[in-house]
Amino acid sequence: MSVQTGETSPSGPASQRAVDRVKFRWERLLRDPNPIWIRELKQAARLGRTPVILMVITILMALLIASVGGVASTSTSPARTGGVLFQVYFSIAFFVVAWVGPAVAANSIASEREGKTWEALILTGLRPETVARGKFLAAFTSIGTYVVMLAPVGAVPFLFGGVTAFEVVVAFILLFVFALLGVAFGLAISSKMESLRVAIVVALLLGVPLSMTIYGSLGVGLSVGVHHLWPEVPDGPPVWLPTALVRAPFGIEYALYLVVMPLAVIAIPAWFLYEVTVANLTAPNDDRSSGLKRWFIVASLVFFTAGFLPVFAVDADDLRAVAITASSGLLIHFGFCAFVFAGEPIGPSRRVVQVWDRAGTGKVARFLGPGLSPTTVLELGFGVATILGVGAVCLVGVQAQSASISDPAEHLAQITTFCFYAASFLVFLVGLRSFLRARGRSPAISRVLLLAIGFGVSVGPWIIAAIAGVLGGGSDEALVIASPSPFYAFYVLSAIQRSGQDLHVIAGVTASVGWVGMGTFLTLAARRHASVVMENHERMITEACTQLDAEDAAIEEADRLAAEEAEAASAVAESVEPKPAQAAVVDTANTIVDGSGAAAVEPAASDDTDPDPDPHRST
Amino acid sequence: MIRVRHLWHRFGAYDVLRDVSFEVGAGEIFGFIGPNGAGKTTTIRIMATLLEPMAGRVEIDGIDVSMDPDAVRRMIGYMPDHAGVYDRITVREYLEFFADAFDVASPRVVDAVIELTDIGRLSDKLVITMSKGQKQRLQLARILLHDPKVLILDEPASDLDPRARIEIRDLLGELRSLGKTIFLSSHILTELSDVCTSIGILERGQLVVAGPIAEIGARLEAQRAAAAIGHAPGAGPAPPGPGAVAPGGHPGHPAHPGARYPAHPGAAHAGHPDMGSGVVVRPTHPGNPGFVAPSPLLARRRVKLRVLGQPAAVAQLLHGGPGVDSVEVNPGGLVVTFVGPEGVIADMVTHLVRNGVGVVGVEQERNELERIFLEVTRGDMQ
Repeated sequence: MSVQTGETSPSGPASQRAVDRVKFRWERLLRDPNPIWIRELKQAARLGRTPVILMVITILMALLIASVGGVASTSTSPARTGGVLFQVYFSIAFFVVAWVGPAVAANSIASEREGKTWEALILTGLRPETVARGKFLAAFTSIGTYVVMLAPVGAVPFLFGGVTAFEVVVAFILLFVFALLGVAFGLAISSKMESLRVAIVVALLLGVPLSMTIYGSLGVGLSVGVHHLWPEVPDGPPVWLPTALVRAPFGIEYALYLVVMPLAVIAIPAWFLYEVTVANLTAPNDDRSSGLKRWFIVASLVFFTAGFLPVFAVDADDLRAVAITASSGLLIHFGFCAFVFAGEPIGPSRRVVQVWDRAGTGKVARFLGPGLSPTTVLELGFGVATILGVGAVCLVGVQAQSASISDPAEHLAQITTFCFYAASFLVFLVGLRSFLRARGRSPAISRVLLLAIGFGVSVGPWIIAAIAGVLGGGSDEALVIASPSPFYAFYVLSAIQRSGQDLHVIAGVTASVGWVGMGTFLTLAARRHASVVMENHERMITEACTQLDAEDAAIEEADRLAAEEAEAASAVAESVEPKPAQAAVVDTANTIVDGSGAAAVEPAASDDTDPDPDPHRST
Repeated sequence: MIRVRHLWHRFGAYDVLRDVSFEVGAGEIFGFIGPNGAGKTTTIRIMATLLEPMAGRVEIDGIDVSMDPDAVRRMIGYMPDHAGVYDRITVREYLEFFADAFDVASPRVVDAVIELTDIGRLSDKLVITMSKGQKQRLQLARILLHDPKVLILDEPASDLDPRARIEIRDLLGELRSLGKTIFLSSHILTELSDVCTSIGILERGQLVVAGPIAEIGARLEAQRAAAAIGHAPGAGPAPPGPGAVAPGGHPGHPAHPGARYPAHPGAAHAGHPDMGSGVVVRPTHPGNPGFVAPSPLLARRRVKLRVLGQPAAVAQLLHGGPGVDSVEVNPGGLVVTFVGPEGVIADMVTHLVRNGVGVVGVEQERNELERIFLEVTRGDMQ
């Protein structure tokens, strides 16, 4: 039952069918809502400045749209003006939700910590997932009110024409979706921060450039590609998805590029941010890994699928580009995951093992739990398999369509070399991460070192190669020095195309083999060190438990002896009590067996016979 | 109810807690005393599952706080020092929120807790506008919502005015009568002596003494007396030990919490080497042959009697009575110094009444805890 709303909780789902479960969850949301959400709504309702801010933003937005519309309508048709206003309005609205959303969400958990209410909250037994969802709902509701308040202004472009009502509605839905991502982003930052101000500053410092990058790349940049695919969609305007959804003809490409991929682009980061938030809210000795690993597996499979699916849609000549793009993307994904998993504990805590044992957790679930070695195996397995898998699919495609490719052997060599280099560098990165984590004192140090070494390895060889090139009179051979850099794989691609550049190809392959060797060595070293640490830890715990148990046994023994002594003493005392029938017998027994027993009862006997126990009567 | 065993904790290179062991029985009010930085809050945070101990074991009602913190959280109510509250929310809304968070089944629990903590007239007041004392009451109400067995209160009376302190003290007594085990830390020793059934004193991360106040006081008195005639083991520097004053009763079988555990192997110098006052901080393991437990009956204690009639005449009635050491006549009444258990007081009162003297007040000396604290701690800045 919800004490805050006074509603009784709905009983469990009528059946295990998905429909019943969804119905149950919906009813529960209405009748037994997240307590944090309800409390924050009550608090927000009493915040006097919110309506003022909302009103000011709405008025400013209305004035801006009116100004732009006024200026545009003097020289262009109303339909074109409507299109311009649509782009201007939703671009501004995007930045409002992209900046305000993270800032509002960053306020949520950090403010609990700073306000010293956090401990009281977690001691209630609320799960980190519940806290994360409550905070998310509260921040999302807050940013949602901004969108709703701006909605009337957003309908103005529709009145001019040039955009349909459906486009406006879809654009508003997308606005809510971006708000969702912005809130999830701010929440993930807030979950890590102790200070409210720092959380807001970090959220804005990261959120502003990130939102601009997304606006530029996924907005303006991608509109060109979409226009190439569907000429009905104009190139250049950043808010292209609503227009494309309305104007593009329905088909496989429509479903893939306008429905599935946007959903994946939103769902994968949103899920990641949720898992990061939950992990940050979970105690270090609890299981913070399983959720992130589940996300890792699904995200890797999605990226892998997104990598090889275009093989079936592009020309044979473009297969090489697909392989290079996909393996590069996968390397970036797995490199990022290596950075994320640098916070992995060396092994599961006793508490986690106990929970597993109680729940009868299977081997697969334990494998996905905390622990450095399983994480390394998981990353290497998925990373190498997906990168080489994409390469293999592309190789098969090239082989199958070799007749339509001018130089299939060159394509095969380029795909093989590039994918091998990407996979081998991943082996090194994961090995290095594991080694640093196993040896490092804290995840932060491991992450900083991983970033520094990764950056040094990527950039350093090129600097040395440039210096060597200058000293060597501008010879291309000096570039061989840059072969350890992962970017050298791109140079190898051009080296394969040119004749007489075998040295660079050999250097690239040698560097790949070197990375594999080094990565394997670091992985094995990390594994060994982790095993030693875990064994020592287990031994210490066992010794401590043994000592405590021995101590318990000694105390219990002492208690038992004392109880026996007390029992014996009370038996003696009872036996000498002057009961009319047995007094003589007991007294005799005491006198014969134990003189101290008789002595012990003397004061009691004296008290019993004394009619006036007042010790002060002599005064 | 609470067992803390060989607890160690370290922040950086500094050992905040060193082999702290004690026990608190069910229904007790245990006062945890120590100078700033002694490690009280660290101990409390470990007990409240907010901090992982680096070594040792803490059990609440038999459950290890490290192994099953969720179960422990259902069993404890923790009120931190300077706890924050939510702004723009009323007292009732605040409690209703926590009732939901604790998954309390009935809204009537909120009413019951409001009544128990006597904050009914504040229920529609915004939390942020409440005074410090009112907020402390609200915090107490919050931690009672899920009916915990153990209440852990960190400095509950700090920054409170005298009236609020009295109210909190009375409330603690009421909670104890409801069967709650209460563990509280405080700097205000007189407050603790009024409400606590036993205490533990922590200094520099080590427990220097633990047990019932009267027993500790009696023991210190006895040790001083023994030292005066050259029999005290603490006449010279005190021997090392685990940080618990030896209890009375059966030698080798501790009678009060905190003294049940032998010294941790790594805690060879748990006591204060220069504590020449005779506070015996030593192991109390059954195998300690050199220990002779001093009797608490040897301790001198003081009680203030307010009587009707001529105090000087009444003093004559008490002079020379069993256990009575001396009688002083003060403007407020008589101050009787006596030796022995509390039964001596009862005997004195009975004797006076039988002799026609009206006894209108009996008050034991309040600063006993302060004396103990000053005696067993060194007073260094921590």
